[in-house]
Amino acid sequence: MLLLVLSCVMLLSCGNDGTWALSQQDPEGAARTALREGRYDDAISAFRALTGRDGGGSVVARRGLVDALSAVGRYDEAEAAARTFVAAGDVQLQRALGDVLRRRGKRDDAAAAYAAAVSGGASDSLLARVSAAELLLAGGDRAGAMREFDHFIDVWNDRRPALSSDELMAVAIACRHLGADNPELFKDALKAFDAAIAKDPEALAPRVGAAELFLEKYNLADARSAIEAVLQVNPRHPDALLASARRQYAEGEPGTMESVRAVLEVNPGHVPARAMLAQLLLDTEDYAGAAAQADSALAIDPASSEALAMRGAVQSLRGDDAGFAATRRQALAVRPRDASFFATLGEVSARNRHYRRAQEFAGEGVALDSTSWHAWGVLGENQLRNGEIAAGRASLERAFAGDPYTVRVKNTLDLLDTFDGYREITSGRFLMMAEAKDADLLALYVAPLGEEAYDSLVARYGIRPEPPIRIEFFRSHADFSVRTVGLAGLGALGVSFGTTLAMDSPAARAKGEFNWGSTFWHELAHTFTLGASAHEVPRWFSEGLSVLEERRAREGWGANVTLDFLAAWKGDLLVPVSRMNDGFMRPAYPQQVIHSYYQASLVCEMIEREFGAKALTDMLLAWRDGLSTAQVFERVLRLDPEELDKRFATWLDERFGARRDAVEPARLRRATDDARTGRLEVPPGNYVAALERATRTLQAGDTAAAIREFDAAREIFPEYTGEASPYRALAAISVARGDEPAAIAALRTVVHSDETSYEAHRLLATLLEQQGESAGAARVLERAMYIWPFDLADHQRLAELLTATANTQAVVRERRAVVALAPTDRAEAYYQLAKALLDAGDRTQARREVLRALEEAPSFREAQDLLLTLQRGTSTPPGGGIQ
Amino acid sequence: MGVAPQTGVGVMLHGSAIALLYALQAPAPATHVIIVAGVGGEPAYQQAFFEAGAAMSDAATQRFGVPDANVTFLAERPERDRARIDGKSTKADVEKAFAAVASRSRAGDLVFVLLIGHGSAMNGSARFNVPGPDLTAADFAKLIDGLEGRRVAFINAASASGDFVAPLAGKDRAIVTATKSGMERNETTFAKFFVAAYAGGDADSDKDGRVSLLEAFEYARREVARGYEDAGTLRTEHALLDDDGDGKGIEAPTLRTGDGALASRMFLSAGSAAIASSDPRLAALVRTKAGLEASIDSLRRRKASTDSLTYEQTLERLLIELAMVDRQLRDANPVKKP
Repeated sequence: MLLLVLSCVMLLSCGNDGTWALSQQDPEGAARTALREGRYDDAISAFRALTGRDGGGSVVARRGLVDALSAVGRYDEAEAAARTFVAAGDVQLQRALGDVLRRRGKRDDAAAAYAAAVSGGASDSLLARVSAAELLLAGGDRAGAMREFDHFIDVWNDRRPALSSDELMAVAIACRHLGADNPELFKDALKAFDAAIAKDPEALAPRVGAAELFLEKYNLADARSAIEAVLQVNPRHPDALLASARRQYAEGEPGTMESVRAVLEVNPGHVPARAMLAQLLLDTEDYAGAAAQADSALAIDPASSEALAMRGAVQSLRGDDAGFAATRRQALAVRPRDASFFATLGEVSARNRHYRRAQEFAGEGVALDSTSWHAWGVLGENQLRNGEIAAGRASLERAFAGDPYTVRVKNTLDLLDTFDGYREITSGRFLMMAEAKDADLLALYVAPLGEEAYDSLVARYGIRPEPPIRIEFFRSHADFSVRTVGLAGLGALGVSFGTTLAMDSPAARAKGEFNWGSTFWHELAHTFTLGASAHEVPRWFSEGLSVLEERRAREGWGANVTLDFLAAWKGDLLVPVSRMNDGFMRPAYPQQVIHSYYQASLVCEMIEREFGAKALTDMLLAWRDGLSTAQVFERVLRLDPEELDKRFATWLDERFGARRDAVEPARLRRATDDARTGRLEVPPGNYVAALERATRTLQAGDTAAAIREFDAAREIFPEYTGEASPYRALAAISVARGDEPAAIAALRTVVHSDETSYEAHRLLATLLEQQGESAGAARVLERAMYIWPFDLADHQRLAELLTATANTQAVVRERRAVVALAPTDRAEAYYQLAKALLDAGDRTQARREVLRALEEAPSFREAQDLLLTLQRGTSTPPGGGIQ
Repeated sequence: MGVAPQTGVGVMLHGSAIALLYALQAPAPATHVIIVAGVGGEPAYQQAFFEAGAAMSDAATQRFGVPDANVTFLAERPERDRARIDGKSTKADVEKAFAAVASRSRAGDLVFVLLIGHGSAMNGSARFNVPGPDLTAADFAKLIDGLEGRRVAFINAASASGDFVAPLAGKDRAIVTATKSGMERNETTFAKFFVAAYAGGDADSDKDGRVSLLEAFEYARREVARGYEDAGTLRTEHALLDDDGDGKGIEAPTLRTGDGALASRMFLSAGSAAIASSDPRLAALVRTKAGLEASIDSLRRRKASTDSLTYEQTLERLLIELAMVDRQLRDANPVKKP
């Protein structure tokens, strides 16, 4: 009977590929394979069969059983099994017992088990010893731990050829810790992990260890390779799955939460996974969910640093000062000198836009342990975010000196090294930093736009952020990305850390790719909404207000409705207002983040229209007071989240209901040719087909019919003004026919709804100028400067248009822009600037600029005449100066 | 094609006083222009090369007064514009054109050579592509050697032209290439802007009414850079100028660098708008003007080593004095601008 049961167990554990015979011959090998491949239930059954109820079987089988049970979170059973084996006098299971105990936070018991393994000469005593040293480190005995880790250097040097894969991994773990004092040892850690893999190519643990080291240093490409190598063998490996999730998180890839949940499906008791899930939930501002995960983790391991940090983070973000103080005490009681608790708090705070608090937490971390390079890095990053450039650089340099292998720190220091090529220009309430070649030009526009925006936002939000507001422009998007998150690849155009803003320079992207003026306004609006809410505003609401403020700033700025947004709405893909943050933090489809910006702005717009403008600021104040989002809805709008969801859905229906048919999937399909007539079939209301028909008609040369058809297409979806819109086609046709008023009308629609349509702006300006509308042409060209300010001819043209309108200050600005663009004919540029300054009544500056012109071209007749004119009309003695 | 030597003696109102004094003392040197539009390979390039060459030819004759007889324009298809194009841009016709200039020019004259088209560099041999056998840098070096005593401005605006600098460099020669080496093989935009420097009105940065080779080079260099920047593309051409004869071109020559001094004195126009110099008062003004210009030039060269306040005060005083002298000269001789 027993034989029959065993056979059944082995049958279950064998596949159809011929392993049956092998498993009969080598059941232990088959069990090990099952464990290695992540067939944990099979492995547990097989190992149980091998060890029996009395704790028999080989050491391999006994350890295998404990490891398999631990892998799926059956810690009670794992501990019981290990204790049974140990009770039977098996010192070889002491290390495995120690590991289980450690996972459950029973550190003293774990230390005793490790000590027993070491003193008993267990075959895995080196692993036990390194684990014991880690416990010492966690307990605050850094010196003792480092002495122990140091012992492994001798092990490596003296016994390397004889070391097993497990022993080499123990050396690797020790070197990883020793790297904190001597970063060169991080390389040795990798070398030892590699040696462990070479010794036993089937071993997965050293690969996971290497992946975690790569992740720690933000070497994400190598981390990915190492993780994939493990998951190819064992797609259910909990630690590898978690490492994979961490990599996704670091790279901003979607699906991170699903990956963490995959870990918990395998092992519901995986404490680091629970802690990470808590962190992800915090990112979506689901504080209750995050707290529940942290609590679950702490129920398994009450001493988990990560879980304690998450609990503390939730409490800190919720404003639960008493709760946070208790958690802090608890964390310090467990690890009196562990800076990672504070470094993690700093990171989570920064991700939730509390940059000042993040700096304070990291500061506590380095005060506790001045060798925590992680904490120094977090401190430096947040000092930079808070505009403390010198202090931030000093902190990062300290982090780098201690650990030169953290990519984020290295990237940021490399970026800071390039700041020598940047210039800072202070004007009014703004301090602008840009690459030297762009600084003078951008300053001409940044300062006035910033002042206008500041005044507008003060009036709306009632706060006055402390000047100077620091705005940094980066010519390279990768540099902006590094400035923001320490890594390349951030998708955003700009960021607001409060009173420090950073964004792509207009030169960072191709002409017409974005509107830097509206982006600047957007980021500055964050400064106010963060300030008004004491940085407690949820991301979605802050983004929504910023987009709304863009639209208020200039006609056509800010996101506008698109066909794909309406299609997403029609397809029920938009997130409800009550889960709006998910649209930003956990996008369910590629366009969802973009759609969420627009959707959030519509929510804000609806609130303003239906509840009054004050409701928006009242909501910010309610968040500032520590209310949850549901409570904010309740207090200010008198609606619960579900009611607000419905209210918004209704509002959207009213707003866009007329366009609902236009985005019927069937109506977005391309038209088909009628097989019988050969003509294009255009079902009524099909926008795409209508456009296609009009385009074909135009190509066939029937302009009059094409105009009618483009008009018909426009009627279906008049809001669309993109590249393929009827407006652009109608404008082109009208220009070709010499019907300038019609072209102007079409182009006006485009420029007033598409903030990046550079060429449309220029063409409209030309047509207006031709119609004698200098002022209108100038206004349009001025708008174009916020798309692409680097075209010399645009500035010369605008200066001339503005001269005709007698707007002398604006002429001076444009003439300064020409000078800033370093034209070949510098003398002419200075001379024109001098004339503009004289027209504006500034004789002193005019004199200075005309002298510059003559410095370039001493015999420049017109400039000589101007100089003599100025000389006659001023009492300033010669030598008034060129600067 | 004969040369009509300029024999007028007088004062150029819109030239520098140094050139002006030269004009007072000696016959103005003549300018000889050879424009070679190479093989296009496809219609778009044929058209572009022809247009650039024609624009340069027109600028030389119409804007800067170089006699038609002194301008030789060779192109791939002469039949497209017999009025402008003097022959086919084959190796043989190019050699003939150089021989003609060598025979009709004299010491001190300026020979201005512009190559527009495609180039290549293989196995250490830099080439300019023309119908039939290409012309190598060594070929051109021989042709220029036949112009001893003349000042030579040699501009190779083709792709992969950078390797022309070293073989052609020498005394009284300014060599300009559109690229910094033979490795920059992509189509160049330098020719377009270089020609525009002479054809348009924006390159005369010192406002003396003329365009020096240095001004044209600087204009083209900046506009090339601006073009790539506007297009958001990586720059694949870096023009060089060498005029100190060391065979090493530089990208940003100025009057303060080793290269640039000769190019700053190379003009297509020898000067016009002369006035009589017999009036001793005017002659004195001319001398004063020359002195002031020399002082200003000297001061500008010493700018980096001069106290800024001293520099500014001195410069302003000199500029005001110069403006007043120029005004007196103009008032005395109200001549139209050329």
